Amino acid sequence: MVTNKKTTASKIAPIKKAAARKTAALKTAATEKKTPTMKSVSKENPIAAITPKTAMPVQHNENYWFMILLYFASFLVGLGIIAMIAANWQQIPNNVKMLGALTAMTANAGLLIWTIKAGKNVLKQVVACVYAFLIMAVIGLIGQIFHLPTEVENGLLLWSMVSWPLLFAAPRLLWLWIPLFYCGIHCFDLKSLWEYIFGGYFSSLLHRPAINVEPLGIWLDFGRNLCILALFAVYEMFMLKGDSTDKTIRRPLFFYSGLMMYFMYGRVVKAAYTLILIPMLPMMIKSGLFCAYVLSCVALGIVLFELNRRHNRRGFMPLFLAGTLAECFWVFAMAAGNINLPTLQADGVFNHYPAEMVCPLVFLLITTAYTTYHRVDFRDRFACYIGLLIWFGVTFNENIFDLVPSLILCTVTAWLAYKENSRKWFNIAVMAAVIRILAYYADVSDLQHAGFYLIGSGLFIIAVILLLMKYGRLLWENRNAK
Amino acid sequence: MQNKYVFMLFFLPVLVLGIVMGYYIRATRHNWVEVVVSGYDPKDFFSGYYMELQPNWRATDCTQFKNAECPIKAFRERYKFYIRREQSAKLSQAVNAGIVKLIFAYSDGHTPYIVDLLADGKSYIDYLSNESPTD
Repeated sequence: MVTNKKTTASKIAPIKKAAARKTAALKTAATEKKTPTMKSVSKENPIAAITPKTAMPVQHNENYWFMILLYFASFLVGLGIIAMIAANWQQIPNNVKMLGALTAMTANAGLLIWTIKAGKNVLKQVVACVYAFLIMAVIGLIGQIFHLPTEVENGLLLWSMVSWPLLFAAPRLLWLWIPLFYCGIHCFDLKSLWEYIFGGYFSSLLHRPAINVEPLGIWLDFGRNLCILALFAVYEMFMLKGDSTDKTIRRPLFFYSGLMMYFMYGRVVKAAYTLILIPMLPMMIKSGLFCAYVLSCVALGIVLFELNRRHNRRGFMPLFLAGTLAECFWVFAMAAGNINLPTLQADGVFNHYPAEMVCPLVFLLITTAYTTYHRVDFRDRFACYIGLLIWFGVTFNENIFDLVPSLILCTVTAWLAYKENSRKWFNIAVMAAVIRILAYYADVSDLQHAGFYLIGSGLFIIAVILLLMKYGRLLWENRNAK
Repeated sequence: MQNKYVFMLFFLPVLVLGIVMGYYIRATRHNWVEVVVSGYDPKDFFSGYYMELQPNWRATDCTQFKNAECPIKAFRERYKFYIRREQSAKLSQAVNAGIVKLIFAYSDGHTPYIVDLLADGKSYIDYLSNESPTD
């Protein structure tokens, strides 16, 4: 028994020693980690060292709802720039147009650098987002001036090739960059990467006709499919193995994970990529692709849900598809209610450009994705949709008196929210009112005016949000003090 | 983020698009040829903002090309010509009347680029400004 005890003690002793060593090491590490921070904090600001804030992790200084609206406003500005350029100002000489475009881009780049140096985090993202759209607009301008016979995909590829540095300034632009890059490489309908890289813009730069790849025959199909599959595999492997600690980067990467597989669904893809170019949506309805598209979404949604579940991912693809479905139904409902639809079907001409649909649909998609990702509770999500509804529910009519009920509703909501101490409701009501007033002018049947008002709306919304970010807290603090 | 090289990267789009513009300006400066076109105003979402035109090689003077042969393969089957929306109806009439030609910058073995559109022998801007406004 004694020997047994001895042997047990001899066995336990080294384990105990090791445990003691580990605990000591952990303690020293903790003190080493703590000491310099506490020292530096206490040196710089001794009071800060004893406040509860110092003990808490760094708070995210961006208001979640405001950031969505800021990006949305930047989108409006970008859309306005594109509309202004699309208006085709023939009275302005081409050289002046190009010089103006390059100057605007240079100024935008300079402004971006200034915002970074000045530490203006929110403004930096706005400027980067507008810059991204400006690049897109300038590519369109080049196509317009030289009447280039290139397809949209070539322009998008060029855009993704030159706009990637902006991701350093605003990683959230990944939400835009990834799908447009996918569009650009034209993997959506299994066309050749080479064909598209050496076609259009790039072949022009090489100063020779597009490379004829047809003689490659079956090997071409094999090669291009292999390229797309390889790209898809690399992306998926990265998503499985790689893990970015930055949530801003991780979210879009996860969100679009599996997207290529989704887009590899033959013909449906043609309609699917138009989701990125949302103004094309009514064409889907017209060309009868709508039903096939929705059904494919459902089928692929089921498959991808299963894949995501196996990889222990949060279900981003199903959410994306749910958003897509919701968007399709919105379009369907609005198209059905659009009195111009019969005209459209009769002669194939869109007399009334349904531009008012574009902004709310994008907003709806983004809001759905964000609120689902953040698992926002039902009340807040409902509030967000109400805000959206207030905004565009009445926007279709051009009668100025239609503004009145919408604005009364916004005012009542804001007043109730202030009384109930609900900042989110208050913000939504204010934003809905602002956007509702400005969206009244957005009639894209005249691109020049539409562009002007879209840019004006976007800039005004950005200014309002920045002001609310700065002074909104004071308003609520005063209310709570009362 | 404060790295100056990252800041320089923000000018990459300006540089690249400047090069692209410069290339097209150079490519469309010389060797102009006239190609007769027929076409229509496309019935799609962007209807009115461009015209889709098809080269009509039978009506085109092929002597302007090398060996007096029309290089049909070098050209696309359709070209887009971007215009202001209010001009599309009048230009469509001109296209239907068969008086429209596209001017390309083309030299043998290179990609042809559109330079201008001629209607009734005049640049389309002059042609439209001379015409009386339609309803």
